[in-house]
Amino acid sequence: MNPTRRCVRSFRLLLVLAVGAAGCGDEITRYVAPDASPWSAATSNSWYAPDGGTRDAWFGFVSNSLMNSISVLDLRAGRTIATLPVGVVPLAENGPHHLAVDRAAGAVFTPLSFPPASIPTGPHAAHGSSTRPGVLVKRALDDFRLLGRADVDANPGDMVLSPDRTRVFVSHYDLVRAQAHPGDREAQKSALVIVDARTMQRTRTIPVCVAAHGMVVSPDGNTVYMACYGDDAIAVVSVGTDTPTVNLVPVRGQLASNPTAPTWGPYALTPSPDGRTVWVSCSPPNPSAGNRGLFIAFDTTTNTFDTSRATTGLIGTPYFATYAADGASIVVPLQGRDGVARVSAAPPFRVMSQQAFTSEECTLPHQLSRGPDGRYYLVCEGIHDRVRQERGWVAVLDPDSLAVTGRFDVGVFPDAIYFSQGPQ
Amino acid sequence: MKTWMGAVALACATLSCGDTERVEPLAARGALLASDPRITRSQYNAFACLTCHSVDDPPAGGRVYPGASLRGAARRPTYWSGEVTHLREAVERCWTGFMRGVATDLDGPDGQALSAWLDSLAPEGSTAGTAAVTRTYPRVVRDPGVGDRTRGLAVWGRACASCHGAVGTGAGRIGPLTSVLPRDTLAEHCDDNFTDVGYADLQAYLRASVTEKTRHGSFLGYAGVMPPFANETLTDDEVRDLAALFVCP
Ligand code: HEC
Ligand code: HEC
Repeated sequence: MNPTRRCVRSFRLLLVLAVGAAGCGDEITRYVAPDASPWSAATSNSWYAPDGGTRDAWFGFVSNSLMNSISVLDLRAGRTIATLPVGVVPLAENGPHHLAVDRAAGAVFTPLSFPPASIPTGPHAAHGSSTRPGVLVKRALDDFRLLGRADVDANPGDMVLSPDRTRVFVSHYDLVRAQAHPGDREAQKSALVIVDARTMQRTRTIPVCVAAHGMVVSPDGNTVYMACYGDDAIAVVSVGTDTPTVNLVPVRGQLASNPTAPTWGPYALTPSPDGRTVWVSCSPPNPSAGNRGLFIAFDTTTNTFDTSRATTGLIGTPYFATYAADGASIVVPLQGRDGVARVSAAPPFRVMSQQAFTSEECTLPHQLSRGPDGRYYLVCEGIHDRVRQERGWVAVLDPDSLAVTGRFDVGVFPDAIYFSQGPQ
Repeated sequence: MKTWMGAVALACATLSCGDTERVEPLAARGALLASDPRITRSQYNAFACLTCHSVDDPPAGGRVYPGASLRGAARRPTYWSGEVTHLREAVERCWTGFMRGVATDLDGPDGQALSAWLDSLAPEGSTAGTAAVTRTYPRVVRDPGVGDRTRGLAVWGRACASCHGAVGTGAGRIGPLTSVLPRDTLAEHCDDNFTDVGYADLQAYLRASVTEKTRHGSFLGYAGVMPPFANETLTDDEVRDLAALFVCP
């Protein structure tokens, strides 16, 4: 049963409605409110069934970016216990991209995007309203009821909460915008949108760079690092003052000359636990044998790339990675040739191991995350193209051997996992 | 539970100077509000809940409502064909999307009355209408082909006349912002460059436009406040016959 469902068993005399003018001899109707609170829904919609002892149990929340839903994984039980709709735009494909849970606030946040491909064909749709704004939604952790929403820009890509959980940062992987304004770099830029996590008011819109995707916030919450796919750069955005500044640092020497066809395509970011390094995973639009994807360290103390900690020698394109528990290595999911690589976090930098997965083990690994139980959880997109839309899954990896030891089924094109204990 | 339901009756108590007091459940007020377009406080809204929903399923061949019947709705596991799991959110979509209301008003006295009314249509222990309702909205909309005008007029009477009034004149339409059809659509589209969007001739393009508006209402790239009509509420044949009412000069 839903823990928030209240059953107030008292009479409440709510309304007195005077019918006609208030004079003598009038008929006055007094309405008696029922004993259930309004909109308390007769049915319980909570995914969470506290059964003594599970209150501290951990769950994984997975955004299904092509399925209008978030899947809830019971890590201990080893199964997916719920798949809950999160969209707010009727009939459309509401694609949640990445997510975060604030347990203390009892909230789940996820930005919804409405990709051009989701606009169906019809005479009016074809007139081209494909750039509808995204929506950041805030839903209750216990039963996913809608708590708030804020319009963001079109094609939100990634979101992160500030360390103090007061602000939500949303990036926009807006390739449509980049293509719509050839030659006009300013107009091509996507914005960092900042939303107040409590009120869900959009407080700031900062134009940053072309098609930004992955984001990392500094431990003090004053700096946001963004992967600028179209610019071949990292953006260092200071957000601690009323006058934000944006500093673009090219991955290799210079910004991409044509932002719709970058050379490197920085896509995903992975922070070090001490905040001194942000690892940049590049996903080149035209991969070649010599450039399947650059994986390189960005030193946040100097705001420079550290070429001594970089490789283009991975067997696939790197995505969202994670640090090992001891901090000595980073494990990186790879696509193209689907697999994982382990690279050293401490100098000297080297690729320690690489292994490929069969398509049953993991198809299109997107994000790797170290779970609260020490195991690795690998979000596998599965097959999703124009022809086939199959469900993805989350593979469980042994932290030492990186062998696949388990699997949770989720929805279509999962793109992120976030761990939290159940509602408080 | 729901003790108030028993205490419904008109408990008429005589007040000081001859006023009479009737005591009624809040659900009764909700029932009145369900037919009242003023409930959302928008001067532009002409719709009431019962413009688009009936309480019980209408008889076959009777009026066609775009929204599901509301008996039992409060106990359904999901709404809007699985897109929503909370009753308030299901109603909020209608309230803000069709009726131009402000979402937070649903938590005010009128919203509470509506909630009580919906609850009263789904009393504890009842099963009527409590299964989830499925509606299918075709994403891809094409020219349905040439239909039958006479049959189209009959469908119009069941599905469209309640808002748009009489074909041609719009007599009796629900509000001044509701299109007069087919006039407004012809004025808007009969000089479009339809080849832009890949239709063989103007009539085919127009039929596809009417089909799209009927199937998607104000959603999926269209705008406005008209509700969408799913496959379950109007068949493809019925939509084709409706489209036959729209002919460019
Ligand atoms: C302009 C037409 C329109 C108006 C006005 C309208 N609705 Fe709806 N309503 C719809 C449509 C269309 C749907 C989606 C189809 C469906 O699931 O019923 C819907 C869905 C719903 C649902 C979910 C039903 C289900 O099982 O999926 C509820 C409950 C609901 N409306 C209640 C209301 C209430 C209460 C009001 C008045 C405040 C209202 N509606 C006003 C058209 C309307
Ligand atoms: C609940 C009221 C309602 C019902 C029922 C309804 N409509 Fe509409 N319709 C509107 C309103 C209001 C507009 C104008 C605003 C908008 O576009 O949403 C409109 C607009 C339209 C338009 C676009 C007119 C233009 O300017 O080109 C078409 C076509 C249309 N309706 C067809 C239909 C058909 C066919 C039916 C019956 C299947 C129908 N409508 C039923 C309310 C309704």
